[in-house]
Amino acid sequence: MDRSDYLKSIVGLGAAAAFMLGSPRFIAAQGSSGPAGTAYPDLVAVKNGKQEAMFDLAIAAAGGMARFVKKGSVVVVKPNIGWDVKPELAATTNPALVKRIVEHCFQAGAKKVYVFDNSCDAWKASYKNSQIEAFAREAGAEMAPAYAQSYYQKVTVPRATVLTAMSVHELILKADVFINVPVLKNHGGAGMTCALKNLMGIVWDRGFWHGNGLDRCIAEGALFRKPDLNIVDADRVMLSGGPRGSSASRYGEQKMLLLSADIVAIDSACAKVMGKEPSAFKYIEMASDAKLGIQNLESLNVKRITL
Amino acid sequence: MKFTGTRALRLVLPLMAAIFLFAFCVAIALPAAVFPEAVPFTALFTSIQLFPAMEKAVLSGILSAGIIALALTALTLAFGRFYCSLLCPLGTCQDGAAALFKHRRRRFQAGRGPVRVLAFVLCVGGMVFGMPMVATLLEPYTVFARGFSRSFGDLALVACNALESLGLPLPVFSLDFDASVLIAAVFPFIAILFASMLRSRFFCGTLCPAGTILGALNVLALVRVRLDAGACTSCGVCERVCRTGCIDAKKKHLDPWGCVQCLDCIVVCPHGALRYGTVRRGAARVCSRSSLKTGRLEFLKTSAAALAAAAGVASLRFLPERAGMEPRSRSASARAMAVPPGAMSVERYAARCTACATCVRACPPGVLRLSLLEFGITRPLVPWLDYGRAFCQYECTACGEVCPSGAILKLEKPVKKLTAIGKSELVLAKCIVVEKKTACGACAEHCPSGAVRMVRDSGYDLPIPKLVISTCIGCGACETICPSKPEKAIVVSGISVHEIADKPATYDDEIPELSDEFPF
Repeated sequence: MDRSDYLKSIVGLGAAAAFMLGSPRFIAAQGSSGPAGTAYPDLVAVKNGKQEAMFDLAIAAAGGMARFVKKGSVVVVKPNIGWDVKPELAATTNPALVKRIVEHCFQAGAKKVYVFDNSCDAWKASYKNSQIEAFAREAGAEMAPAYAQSYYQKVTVPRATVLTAMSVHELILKADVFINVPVLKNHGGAGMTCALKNLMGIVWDRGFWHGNGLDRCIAEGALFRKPDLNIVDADRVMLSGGPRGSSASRYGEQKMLLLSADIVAIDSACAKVMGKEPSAFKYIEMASDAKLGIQNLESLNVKRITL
Repeated sequence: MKFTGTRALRLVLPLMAAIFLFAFCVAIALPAAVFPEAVPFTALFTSIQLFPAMEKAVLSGILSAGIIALALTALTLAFGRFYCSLLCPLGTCQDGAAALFKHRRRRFQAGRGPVRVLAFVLCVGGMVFGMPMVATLLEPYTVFARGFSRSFGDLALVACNALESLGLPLPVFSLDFDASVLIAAVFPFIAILFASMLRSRFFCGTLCPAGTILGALNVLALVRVRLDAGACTSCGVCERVCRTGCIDAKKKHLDPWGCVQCLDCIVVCPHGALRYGTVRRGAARVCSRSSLKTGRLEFLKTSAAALAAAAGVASLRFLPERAGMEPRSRSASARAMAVPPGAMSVERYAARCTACATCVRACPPGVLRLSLLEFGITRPLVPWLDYGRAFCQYECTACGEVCPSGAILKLEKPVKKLTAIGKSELVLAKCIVVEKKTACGACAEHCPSGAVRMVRDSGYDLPIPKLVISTCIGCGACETICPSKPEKAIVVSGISVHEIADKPATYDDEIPELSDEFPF
């Protein structure tokens, strides 16, 4: 072919490459964690501060929210709004943390930020009494309903063995950026509830996970769409009676916040925060085997900040 | 024309009645599942209903209800039976129904004394003896709330769902469709409206128990509609507009028991013979021999009716089915049905509930639903908690807040959280962990009182559920969420007398020492 055609094809390929590299979804899907040795850490852990301040430090250490949220994107933030309880019970994510995350998203240029969860208790009371609704709205986010089946769409999950089909919330399909914000607690059935388990709130039929192999379903829950960023509220950690907790529950004041794009690594780290080994939780092993992330923290670039 | 004050009232009253009706409809028909903010608003409307307030005061001893009942009585004694034309939603609906047939010539509705008393004694007597079925059919707030919300209310929600599915940003409502319950729930409302089309406000002057009380007070009222026989020419114009058919133009007589102070007659009278005011000294009264005879006959008929009704109600005490009042279950597993916290006991609750269904609408998780005859034939449509659909929310007291009759008393939240309305039963063999050998724990996950928790047992590889029954409050969360199919491994049965449960017990979980440093 002649020179002009050659140049055109080079330009075309270059544009395609630039588009793919620039598209946030592609960046998010690029491997389960950043390759070790890059400028940014794979996992950031901060201790002994207020949640909002710890998040500011953690996200800065990870390269800033702009690394995850591009200008003009639609962001969906999925905290734990499972229960109609006050924030002090730490059964739901700290509302101030959710607000700070939303603020960072807008600062990074997000066009729209949604916050939702498929609550276990009555949804309106959960959204309100956890105070996540009030705080998120202060930062300009929109609280999205998730209480009816019409908000969910059926999708197939090709790589799954048990969770082969899911009814997933429309925002998970629609949003450019997916931020997962669990609160760390013990769990009667699964042992621990953290980043992987928090994804149970994006599907309509939670009962399917419980009835068809809880560990396997928790592990495969991230196969359809991995969160682009995980932030764990490990400030006041429920140690017994979780995940809802009762007045007899005991807590550990760990005053921690963890941040990672690797959902398996962050759960491994949180297992240790709870005083256990990651291998004690079957679903962490299964998720690691399914190539959703790296379980072995030794091989990762971990940044620790103590205030 | 004279009486401009009355004319002004006559214009303002229907408008106020319409506004009040609209607010009422919104308050009682909006499901709290989507609008829990409406609950205090609903409670406001239910608190001012005369018959339920009297029931709450007399049968349950609630002072606030007594004050409201006395206030309504006092206002009626002062200003007449205006409640019926201004505040009663069923009354305003009947006016609407009658207006559809405006061309029908209205006339005096005669001979209602005996029927009035019969209906009233049956209603009140039934309530006193724990058989609310007559009130379920005739009490105006009950009939309106249940009938409206399950007919027009539900239709509006269906329309809303349809529009939402077409893409409009509207909420989604979950609806409960049970044909037999729906028909039974709506029938009295529709029948009363239909009757009003044939004979305007037939119900108000004949069957309404609140109307009978208010009517009796109206007779004694200081300020009410009065007909001056001296100025009356029996032209009959008033009789044709009278909403309750309480004016006999030929006899120049207005029956104060039936008059709802709508003031329509005053405005149309060409001779100024009608007025809304106090008794005037020296006003001419019709008192002929024939009317005395009619009066005596009416009195005899009325007394006979009263005695017959009283005897009938008293005899119902001895119905065999009154013994052993355990409500039969709706489900195949024959479990006892649970009733809301605040009911105190199934017997007390079923004896007072007239099935207005306000609690059903005000229940945010939507666990309450109407029964049919499971609580006995004398207690139709009484609501129960269906744990197959949803569970009672730990932090919620909505049903007690809105119940107008005191069937569900309002409990303080800390008390409500310890009130056991049922107890769970666990069948380990049906549990997912035992059957499928995979982890579950959904029941323990949801239990707000720590009554079911997951424990390590040497017989099983994975944690299994264990019950600490003394702390169980029977909220049904475990049953609702249990994923076992076809039968749940854990189910909740209602208990006949509610009791106070123990506070949640500490968990036996081994909690490892957590380090102060980063553990990784």
